[in-house]
Amino acid sequence: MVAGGEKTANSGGVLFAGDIPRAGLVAHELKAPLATIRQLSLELQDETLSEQERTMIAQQIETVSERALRLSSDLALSERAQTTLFSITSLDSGALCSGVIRDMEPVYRAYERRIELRLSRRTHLMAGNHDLLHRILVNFVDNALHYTDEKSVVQLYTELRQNEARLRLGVRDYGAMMPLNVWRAIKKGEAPSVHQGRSHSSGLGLVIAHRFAEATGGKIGAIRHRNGASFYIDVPLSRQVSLL
Amino acid sequence: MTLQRVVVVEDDALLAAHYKRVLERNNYEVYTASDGPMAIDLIDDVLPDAVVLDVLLESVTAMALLHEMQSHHDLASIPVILATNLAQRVPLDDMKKYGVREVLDKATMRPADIVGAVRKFAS
Repeated sequence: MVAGGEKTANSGGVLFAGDIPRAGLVAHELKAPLATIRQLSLELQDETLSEQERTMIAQQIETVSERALRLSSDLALSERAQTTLFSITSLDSGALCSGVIRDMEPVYRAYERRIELRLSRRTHLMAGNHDLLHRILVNFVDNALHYTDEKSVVQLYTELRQNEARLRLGVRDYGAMMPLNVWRAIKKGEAPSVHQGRSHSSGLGLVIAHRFAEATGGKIGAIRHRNGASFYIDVPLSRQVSLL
Repeated sequence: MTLQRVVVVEDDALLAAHYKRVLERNNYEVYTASDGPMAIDLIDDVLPDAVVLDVLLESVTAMALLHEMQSHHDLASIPVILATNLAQRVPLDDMKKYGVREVLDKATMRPADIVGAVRKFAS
């Protein structure tokens, strides 16, 4: 789908055909936050720090630790995703998205960035697994954090895809345009390597999100904008509504 | 006394703020940039005494930035200290022609190492 210079990548619902990428990429993704935690911890040993600085650094250590733990947990779960049966229930899209915002707002505050929720006019029920969808959206929101500048606001949005009887849950960031080589990698169904643009975790996180999406009947896609990117998952609408 | 100036190029905002605090506590005037294009403009404006540079940046890699610095007479002599998670893959000898004076491994370096490197090489 091409509209106004924007392109999407969604090849039959299978965005990433490959397995979890090579161990080096995983190691890099986990090494970076650990190195940051270590640097901040060492700084805490400085006796000249004010109480305010100590509190701020301690909160930053907590935030970065939680992000690293989230990635570890997602990695472990994604390894089982293909062989585990996840329960599919009827979910309130607004409640799910609000929960993601609630969880990620402290992270955004720590990085002095903003996020807002933009729901479609009506609340929609969708069929999915709450835990997996929550992880996917947190993954997208976490990724967007690094690609949005301090002047713009990341948006978590819902959009009804009426013709497809699906609901799109997406995250739009306003930052640098996704590099073409990353875009091409996504279109081919590959995870972008750590050496390509968007160095922060987009490759591994997207592979994990794809595995979760497959397990819950969703389809992941990306839109390359001139001023940023959108990553989304299209989820089937709940048939419960149609039975009312 | 005029403070020596350092430009820190690091796309992790928390790490960039950390380097800034550490260097400022050691009496350096610190400017930060989170990507290559911003960095080259900043370096051009500030003409720092040293640059601390992360290797993996979004959009423009560190190598592209180093090439750009080398192509300008007034920027080519600015000492660059690399701070990276890929230290074992960045041989210092190969990087010296790009103005790199030291390669610090983020996984093992201490705050004093950044200060020490800047102090040693700042022009």
